[in-house]
Amino acid sequence: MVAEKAKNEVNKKYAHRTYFQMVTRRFFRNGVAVTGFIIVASLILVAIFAPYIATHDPIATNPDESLQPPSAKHWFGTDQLGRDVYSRIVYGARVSLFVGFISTGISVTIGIIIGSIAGYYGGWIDDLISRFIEVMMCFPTFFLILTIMAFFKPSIWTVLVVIGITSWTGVARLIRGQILQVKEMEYVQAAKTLGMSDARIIFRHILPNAITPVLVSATLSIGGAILTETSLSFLGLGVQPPNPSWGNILSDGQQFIQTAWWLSTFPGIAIFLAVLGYNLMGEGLRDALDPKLK
Amino acid sequence: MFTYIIRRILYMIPTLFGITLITFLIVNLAPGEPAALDASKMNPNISAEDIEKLRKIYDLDKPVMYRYFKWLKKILTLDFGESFKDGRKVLDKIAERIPNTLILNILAIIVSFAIGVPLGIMAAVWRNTWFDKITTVLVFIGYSLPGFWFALMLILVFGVKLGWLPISGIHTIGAEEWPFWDRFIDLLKHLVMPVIVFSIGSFASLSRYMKMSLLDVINQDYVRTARAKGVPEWKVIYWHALRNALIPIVTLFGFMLPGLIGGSFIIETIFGFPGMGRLGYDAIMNRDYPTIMAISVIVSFLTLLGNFLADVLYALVNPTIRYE
Repeated sequence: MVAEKAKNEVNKKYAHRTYFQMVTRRFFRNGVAVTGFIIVASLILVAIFAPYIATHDPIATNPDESLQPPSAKHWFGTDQLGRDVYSRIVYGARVSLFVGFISTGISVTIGIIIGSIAGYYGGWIDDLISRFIEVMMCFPTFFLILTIMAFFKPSIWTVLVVIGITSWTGVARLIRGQILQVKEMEYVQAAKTLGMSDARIIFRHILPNAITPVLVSATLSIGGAILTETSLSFLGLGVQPPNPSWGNILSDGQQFIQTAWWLSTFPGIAIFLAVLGYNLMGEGLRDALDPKLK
Repeated sequence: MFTYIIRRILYMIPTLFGITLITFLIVNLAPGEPAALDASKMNPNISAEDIEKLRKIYDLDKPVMYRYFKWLKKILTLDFGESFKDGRKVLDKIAERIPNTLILNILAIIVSFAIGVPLGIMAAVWRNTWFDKITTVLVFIGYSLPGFWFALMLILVFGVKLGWLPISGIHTIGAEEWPFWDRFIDLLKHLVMPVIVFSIGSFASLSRYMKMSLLDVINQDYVRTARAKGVPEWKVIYWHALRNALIPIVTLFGFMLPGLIGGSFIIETIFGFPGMGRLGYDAIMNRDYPTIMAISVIVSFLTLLGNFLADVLYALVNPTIRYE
């Protein structure tokens, strides 16, 4: 209560604003953050309203119109089977965003649980987990993902699970460090004295104070996951044709690079924009959430 | 310092053990069998007994842990076995690929440092000017650019449209007969695009890192003191501040070690570049277990070693750090 009171006095000027309002305000005043937000929001809208935005069926082949350059009918041209590249890219947004969100959800959940256990309990449990994280961090991640993917039947589900279970170490480390910092603070001691359960202390009292850096890292890792998914699909180990993914369109593009420039140019721009959007938004969030800037 | 290094080396042993165990388990517990075995099953002339014999040769009839310790004992003497694909020694296959990947990555590191460090310094010195803003935009573009797409775009423009550069491999077919200088120029031409692709991501993060580091130092007391006693501004920056700002940059060399040898799986594949990354990709596609495990262990070990070197380098160049 005393700490709360002091905080209120310091923030008297901003007393009418909640923390959330202050963060949003800082976020939307930052050009980098807003650019990222606009890119990401447009991509999400494209993914949701894909059937209305696309001009053709993304899977329908048309041998009479194969490998046509961009035109009024086919904005981004057609591929070797006469499919409309623009429509395939629009539907590809669904795949990429889906993989990005779900795999990041998986990795953040695993990271939070493992990191909390290590940080809160300490001792040999922490030693064991930290060691395991250290081993995991030494592995060349993309090679590891490729190896695992090669053993399973490639599909969008294997892709997102494999990305999820191989990329939780960063979050686990972050959470562990944060918990070590706040564990000894008075309010946690007070909660312990009041006889609260470990799980309640972790989830109700510690995590809300440790979550901000995780939010930033999760935003950045959605971009990373999209990059990994498109790379895998590009190599033929991810989303399988005829389902459209930016990665497998690009792989057709490589095959026909001598004759069809549009096939390798447009899907790449989509990947680049998605990754850029999440990177900018992550940076913007970091600045907005940084308490040092208050 | 000496005891610190010894302790760190001892500390690496259990981690290394964990690396070998996980590598082995992932490859050996995965469903499916080596491609060679799969292929023989397809062959109608091979009987069930022959397949059993093959399984015995690969020890596939023994428990996993038995195979693990047998493999571990072998790799401790740097014997990674023979490739399932062509029966050659894995270590030989790796050894012939390392020089290619090494030359590519050394060039890329030189290029990214030559561009990234000065750019970062200028962005810090002229912070909040138009120069800083343009650099920030370039940096964001640089590390959001998907390397494999960028590679395709370079191939499209300089290889296909303009025809200036060769799009694949490391030398022109028949180049063995050419005089030395022609061969050298030919090699350089093949390296231009891969080097650009490798540099673009690292130059971006490097310049950002350099900028942050220099900004940190510029706000230190001793820099203010130097200014207060009338040291000219250029000397404050390049003499007092920069020397200390470069300390964290030195540690980056450690983190570059695994990439230096391990290469990049996807970029090397796109350029048909005969390096370690390409070898790893081919091994995965052929389910060549011994090669997959060897590459995984070697690159992980290099990462571990790189982290260790980064710490030691940091301790060496930063006299304020004492390990007791």
